[in-house]
This record gives sequence, C-alpha cells and structure tokens, in this order.
Amino acid sequence: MRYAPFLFVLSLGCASQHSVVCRNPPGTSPGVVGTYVCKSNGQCTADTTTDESRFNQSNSTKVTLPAECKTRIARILIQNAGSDDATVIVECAAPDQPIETASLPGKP
Amino acid sequence: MPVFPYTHVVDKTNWNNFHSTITGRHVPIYAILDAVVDTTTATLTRDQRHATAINAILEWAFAQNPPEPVRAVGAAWSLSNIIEPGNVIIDPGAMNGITKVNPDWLTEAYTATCPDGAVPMIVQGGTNIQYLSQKLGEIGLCLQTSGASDGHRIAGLIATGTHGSAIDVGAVHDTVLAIHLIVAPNKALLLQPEANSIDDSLAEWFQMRTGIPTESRKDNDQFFAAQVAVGSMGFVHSVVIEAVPLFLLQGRMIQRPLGDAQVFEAVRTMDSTPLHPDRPERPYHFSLLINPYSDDVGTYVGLWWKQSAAGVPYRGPSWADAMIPSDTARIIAGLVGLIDGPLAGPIVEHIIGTNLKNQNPDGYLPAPLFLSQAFAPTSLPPGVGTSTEIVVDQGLGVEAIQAVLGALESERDQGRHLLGAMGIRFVPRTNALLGMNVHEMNMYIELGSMKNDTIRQVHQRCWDSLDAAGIPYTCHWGQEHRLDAAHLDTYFGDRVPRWKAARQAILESPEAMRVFASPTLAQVGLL
Repeated sequence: MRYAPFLFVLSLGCASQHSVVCRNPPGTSPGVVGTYVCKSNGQCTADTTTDESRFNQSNSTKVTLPAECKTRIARILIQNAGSDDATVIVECAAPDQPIETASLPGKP
Repeated sequence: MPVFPYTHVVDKTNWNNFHSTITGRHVPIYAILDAVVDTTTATLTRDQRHATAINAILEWAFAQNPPEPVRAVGAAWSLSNIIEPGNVIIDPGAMNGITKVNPDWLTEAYTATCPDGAVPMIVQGGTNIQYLSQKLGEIGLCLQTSGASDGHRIAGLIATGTHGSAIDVGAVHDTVLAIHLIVAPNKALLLQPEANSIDDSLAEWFQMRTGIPTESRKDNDQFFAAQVAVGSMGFVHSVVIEAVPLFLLQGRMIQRPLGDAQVFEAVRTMDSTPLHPDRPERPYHFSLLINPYSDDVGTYVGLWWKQSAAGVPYRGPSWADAMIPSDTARIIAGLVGLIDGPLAGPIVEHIIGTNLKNQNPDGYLPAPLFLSQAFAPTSLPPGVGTSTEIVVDQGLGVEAIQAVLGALESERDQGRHLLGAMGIRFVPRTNALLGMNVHEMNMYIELGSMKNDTIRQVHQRCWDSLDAAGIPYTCHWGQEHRLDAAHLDTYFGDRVPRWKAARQAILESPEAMRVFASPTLAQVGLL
C-alpha cells in the first residue's frame, strides 16, 4: 500500500472478484449506527436487510481502510474492481467541528 | 524535501484542477495541513497546529533565495489559471472551523444597521460551502447568497468574486465583514473597513487561538482589496461572514421566446414583475438561461421568492430536488454522451434545445427549498466543461446580450457552436476593489459549454463583439478569460492602482510580495 494523507491508494491484487468490502481497521470504529443502501442517483435509503453473510461472501475482496482517516471518509473510488489490478482510492474527510461562540478569558 | 510540523508533504507528480483546465503539473511540495496527526496525543490545539504549520511553511518560503511563491488551494474549481501552481501548495482542507462571533463584540453601528437576526460567523478558509451550509442550517442560519453550486472552499470562493443572482444582496464577498490574513511568518492582520462591525476583541481572539501576533486594522481600501484578493494577498486564515436566519426560496421558471421584448425590458429595468403579473412581488433572485439557437423557447426566466422557514427543519441538498439552474453546468452535464464528436449543426441545436426545454419546464417547483438546496452540488462531471463569464454594466445589458448573440450567430455560420447555453445573472454594486460587480447593478453573461477544439474561438468572438460594440466588460476571475492590464484599466479604473497600493500596504516586504504572487497578477498587470 502506498499512501498519502487524505488520499490513500490501496492495491487489492485480486482476480475475478465481484464485490469489494471496505472496512475500518480493527479498534478504530466507534460502532455502527445505521446501514444504508445507496444508488448512483444519489439516493440512500435505510437498508431493509440484515444479513452479515453479504459482507463475508467467498468471492468478495476485503480492503482495510487507512487508519489515518480515523473512520472519516470523504470518497472511495474502486478502480478495476474484479480485476487483478483492482485499486481503492480513499479520501479522508476533515474532522467535524462543533460551532461555539468566541470568547476571551476575563472578557464577556 | 522540507519537513514541516503538523503537515504532510507530498510530491505531487500529476496535479490537475477540478475541470482539468490545468493538467499534469508537478508540485514538489504539496503541503497538507494537519494530516496524519494523532490528534489524541498532540499537545497543541487544532488552531495552534495549523498556525505552527503555516508559520513553518512561510518561514521556509521567505528564506529561499529568491523567496519561493506559495499558493493556498481551495477546491480548485476555477476554470481559469488563477490557481496555476508553482512549487508549493498549501492545502488547508482541515481548516474548517466555524465559530460564532461573540455578540458583545459587535459594534453599536453594526447592530443598528445589520439585517434582522444576522449572526456574524468566523469561518476558516478551508471550509467547504456545502459543509458550512449544513452546519449553519443545524443552528437555524444560512448564507445570504452563494455561487450556483456548493463545492468551493470559502477562501477561494471570495478570492474569485463568486456570486449568485440575489439582486438585492450582492456577491458572496459582499457578505464578508472581516478577513483574517497571515501575511508573513508569525504576522497576521484582521482587516475590517473603517466602519467596523466587530471590536478589537476579535483580533485578540485570533491571536489567542493561533499564537500569531494579530494586528486589528481598519482600513477601507485594504479591506476592499482583500475581499477579492485573486489569491495574492496572504494566506486567508478565516473570514467573518454575515449569516442570517434560515429562509426558504420558492422557485419558478417562465419560458419565453428568444429575444422576447418583455424579458429585455426586465433586464433594462430590473423589474421582472410584468413577466409574472399573477405574483407582482420583487423576487429575491432573478436570472435567465438563453438558448442562442432557438426558434422556439429560447429564454428561461428563473425566479426565486424568499419566504419564511419558521417551523421547517433544515434539510441539505439532494440530487433528487427539482431545480431552477442559474448557471449552465446542468445543461452541459445533460449534453455529455449526447454530443460526442462532430455533429451537423442542426442536430447539435436540436439536442441543446430539447435538453433545455426538458430540464426547465414552465411553472413553479413543487416545493420551496433552502438556499443550499437551490444552489446545490454541481452535476457537471469534471473535465468535460469550460466556460467564460463576461460582466457588464446592467445598463448596457440588453446591448451586451445582443452583441453576444450576434457573435454566436456568426460562429454558428462557421460551423462552431456553444455546446451549452448562456446564463444571465445580476448582482448589485460592491466595494471590493476587484469584485466584478463595480456598477450600480451588474449583469453576468456565462457562456458555458462542453469542451471541444473550437470553443476558445467561440468565446473569443464573444469577447471581440463587446469590444466592437464599445461595451466595457471584465470576466469572472475563476473562469476562462483573456484579461490584460488594458482591459482591467478600462473596466476597473482607479480601483486597480488602489488594489495594488493596498496589496503593498498589507504585505509590506518584497519577500511577501513575491511569496504571495501568482501568475495571474503578472498576466493582468497587477504586480
């Protein structure tokens, strides 16, 4: 794997796979709060299926996402899925920040 | 390769901007702030880490012989060469903090005159507009206007004069109240106009947060120069933008023939109400899309009226929302795959006309939208589009539209087409010295097209037609242009020497003038 911050390239080195499972490194994810099914029209709907076997199919390729992203992903590009040259490009997202009110010590 | 704290430096061997109008650049020092930092063990705060990183990069750049130019990258959306990189790029994508200005720091003069419910917000320069809208929406606020879409970062957006068509508001830079610039290692300015909105506590706050000595400076020309800085006035750490309570926009499209007299009259008077006598209210937003090749519906009048959002929870943009486009990205996106190579003129014109008509049916949108939904993510795939945007005095608007239509007709006779449409928008006057909206009311003509080998000739003919008609114009800093010093002098007049003097006053040293220079400055005579 060669990597750059915010943009990671993961070489899969697999052949004839039909699906790719991208997952966070062990111990980095605070847990799952929902599952969605997203289509190319931009619509995501709540997943009506619970079936762990979908993530464990024998013909799928499993990719561990970069820990440097700290589970925050902006975009994932899977190039040449199903080929020997499959590659995943991962963009980490910037951290979310709460909005606060500016203040100075000793001033209102 | 130099090593900077809290920064990951990548040797980018193939850097391209979003629309691939700048391609294949080698940027040996692409410095990403706060990347691959273990923030759980870092001893400095986020703002301190960023400041430490920027200071180190600038120290290195200033110490080179000669000093090394540094460009700060936004979303790299511009079609022009404004973000032409040198050897060093700072990528401040991690600088996305948003903070409310303490209300006790607002001046009486500001609170007496600001829009109802206005809340000045400190927004760091790397903040993406869609994210900003989302965060503001969650606390019941929004921007007053935006570009036609939302992928920009705030510093790049105002540096290029990005605008919408909110006819009584202005461009986005006109809603900026203060600008925090890092102008040299360990040296920052908080710029405001002389009629400042916020007291000196804000400069103290920036200094406390970053550790960089920050001077509070109230100077009209320096602030007005920094509002549209063309990426050359120091590193934009943050801006203070005036947010307002969330509102909704009800959209309506009206189809009219090409050259419709009533539409031209609305352009002349900025009174669109004769076009919609059933709703005789001045709209918040008024724009046109024009199909220059139409013998049927050739003009699409886009109108948005403001209405209360009381009780309506904020919702972000969705690909599924019905839209009234105010730029030409969607029509170009709709042509991708349909126009794939040389086609006979009548076929091209049929495809453009059919697409525009299908995308823009006459009537109201089914539901009102928040501003961030109405001006949502671009549907234009990267690399396929190009555009120029011409800005003229609205008083000459009809003549300018006719000149450009004439130019497109001449190009059509030569077999060259604009593979898109004309977008017409209006923005009132700015104080920003190099904001394109220098007139009492300004008209922007966007000529968006799919990219092909002949589009530059088409744009060239349009620019020439305005010169021939004696209509002074400038072009959007972030789109294709052929601006030079003579064009700038004609259009901006004494604003050019004022901008240059202000840049000198802000940056002071020859080293800073070189570090924060860009190729665009030399091209248009701003050095």
